[in-house]
Formats: sequence, structure tokens, C-alpha cells
Amino acid sequence: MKNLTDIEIIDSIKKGNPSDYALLIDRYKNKAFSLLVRMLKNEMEAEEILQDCFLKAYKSIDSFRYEAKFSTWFYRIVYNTALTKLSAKKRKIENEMSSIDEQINLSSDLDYRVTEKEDLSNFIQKMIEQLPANYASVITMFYLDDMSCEEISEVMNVTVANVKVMLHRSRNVLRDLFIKNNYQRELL
Amino acid sequence: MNKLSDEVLNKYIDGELDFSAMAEVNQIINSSIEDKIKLDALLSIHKELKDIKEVKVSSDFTSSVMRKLNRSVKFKKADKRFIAFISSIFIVIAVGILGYVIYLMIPQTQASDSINQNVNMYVNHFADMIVSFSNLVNSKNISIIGSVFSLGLLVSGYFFFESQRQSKRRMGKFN
Repeated sequence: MKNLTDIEIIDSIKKGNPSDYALLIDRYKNKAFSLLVRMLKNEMEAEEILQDCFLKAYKSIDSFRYEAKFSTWFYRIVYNTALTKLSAKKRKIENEMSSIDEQINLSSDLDYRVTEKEDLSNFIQKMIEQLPANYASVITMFYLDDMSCEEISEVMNVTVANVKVMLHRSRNVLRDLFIKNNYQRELL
Repeated sequence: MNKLSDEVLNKYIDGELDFSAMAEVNQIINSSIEDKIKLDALLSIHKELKDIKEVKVSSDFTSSVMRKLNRSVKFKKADKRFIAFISSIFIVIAVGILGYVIYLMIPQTQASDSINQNVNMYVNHFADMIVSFSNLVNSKNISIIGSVFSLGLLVSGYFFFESQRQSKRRMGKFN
């Protein structure tokens, strides 16, 4: 049963087996939660939003037309719901989105937070959490969910070029912090 | 290409450079320690990012969502049944009124053949029922029936509103 594809599960739900939706929830809950936590920077809020997203997705499952992957379609719901939540919290996400075309200095915002030496993977985790929502989303979807830049652009409703810009800038910021904190010595 | 830009380095690790550009990058890296450090650092970040961990939801997450989902489906069904019940009452009343109007419009002619006689018989039965119904709804009883009907409407409206409110409350923020 667990080897069913997303499409087979959706077909089964549409045929009147709502309990099969649990399979989709189990399949995507942690990845979607990781995305939300990195966007909202709050686990409790993220879990609440994720529940809403799964309910929303179930409610509109009939409108799923098989044109995109279920994961892309679902992540779009998750991403947009998180953006709505963020804008409701007046975090000025619109400024973040428009800043793609501007020269930004992410490293100066993050630099001061690195105070002590720690494990490299912990350092990376912490730095991702510090990234602005859209940059953190790109990193999470690209690396954790193995999504292509095209799929991420569909989810975020931006161009593929913009996704690449955000991906490269995020990496560059992390690399600069990595060098500044002498982490490369650990690798030598 | 004397110094490697960040864009080129990123394209290098994503494998987006063609063969000649790759060779050129390799040549520069071999001759520039600064560029080598930048590339190595970027590769390390790339490698670490590939291993980033999932953040896990609480253990009862799936069951909690399924519970909410079942509740919403149940409420939806109950609402549908209630609406169907109210609608059927209105439809019966509307059909009754329509039937009575048709009865008044049909001329009372003698049927020439047996089929027409049968049809007329059924129409007459139906008309009798309508007449009985209209007798019931005469000026004497109309106010009583109207009051009962209004009361029924008010009570059902209250319960409908209450069930909607409860389902919204239970569903939390779910719209």
C-alpha cells in the first residue's frame, strides 16, 4: 500500500477512500514541515500552518489536474500559505521578493550571529534558519526535497533565473561565513 | 578568465559549464590559492547542504489531521442532509401550489377516449387532493399554519446556524 504513487493515492481518494490521504500526509509532512519551519522560524506555528495546508489540499484535491507533480502542487499551497502568514505578521516579505533584483548583503546581516565555534552541520542548519524566508525556501527545496530549479520556480511563482540567483547568493553567503569562521581548516 | 566569479563557481559545482569552461576553471584553480579556497569552501557548503536534516513534526500529526478531516467531512454531510430536508419541504409546497394552479387552468371537458378518461381520473384525484389542501389552507387556518411554518423555519434556521458555528469552531482556522 505504501508503494503506491502519489497519483494512485489521489485516484483512490477521489474514488471515495479518504483514509488513503494519510499516506500522502506521511510522505510529505516532514519535508513540508522543514520548509515551513525555515520560512516561519517557529515550529509551533509551522505545524499549525501545515495542518491547514493538508486540509486545504484535501479540500481542493478535485481541482488537482495531474499537470504538475503532487509535490509541486502541494508545496505551492504550503509556500503561499506561509507567505500569507508572514505578510499577516508584517514581515515585509514583498520587500524580500523584490530584493532579488537588488544588491543585498545577506552576510552582513548574518555575520554577527556566529559567535562561537561549533559543528559544521549545526552551523549550516543555524545559518539556513537565519536566511530570509525565500532564500531558505530555495535552499530547502533544492537540497532537502531534491527539486529542480524549474519545479522551485513553479512553486514560488518566480523565474528559473531568479531561483538560481537566490540559490547562488545563499551558497555564497554561507561560503563567506564558512571562510570567515575558518571552517575550511577542519576539512584540511 | 583571470579571476573566478561567484557565478562561475556556482555553475561549476552545478555542472552547468561546458567542457572548455570547466578546463579553464580547473587551470585557474591550480594557479590561484584564493580561488581554490573559495571553490573548496563552496563545495563543502554544497556537500553539507545535501545532508541537511528534516525537521520532524509531532508523532500524532497524521492522526490529528485525519481527525480534523473526518470531522469536516461529517459536518459537510450533515449540512447537506439538513439542506436537502429543508429544500424537499419547499419543493413539496411548490409542487402543491403549481398543481393547484394547473387544476384551475385545465378546462373541465369530457374525455372522448379511455386514455383521456384515465388521465382525467388521475387529474381529478390530484385536483381533489389540492382542493382538500386548499380547504385546509383557508382564511381560518392560514394564520395558524403560517405561524407553525414560521416557527419551524426559525427553529431549523437556529439549528442550522448553530451547526455551522460549531463546525467552524471545531475546524479552527480551516476555511
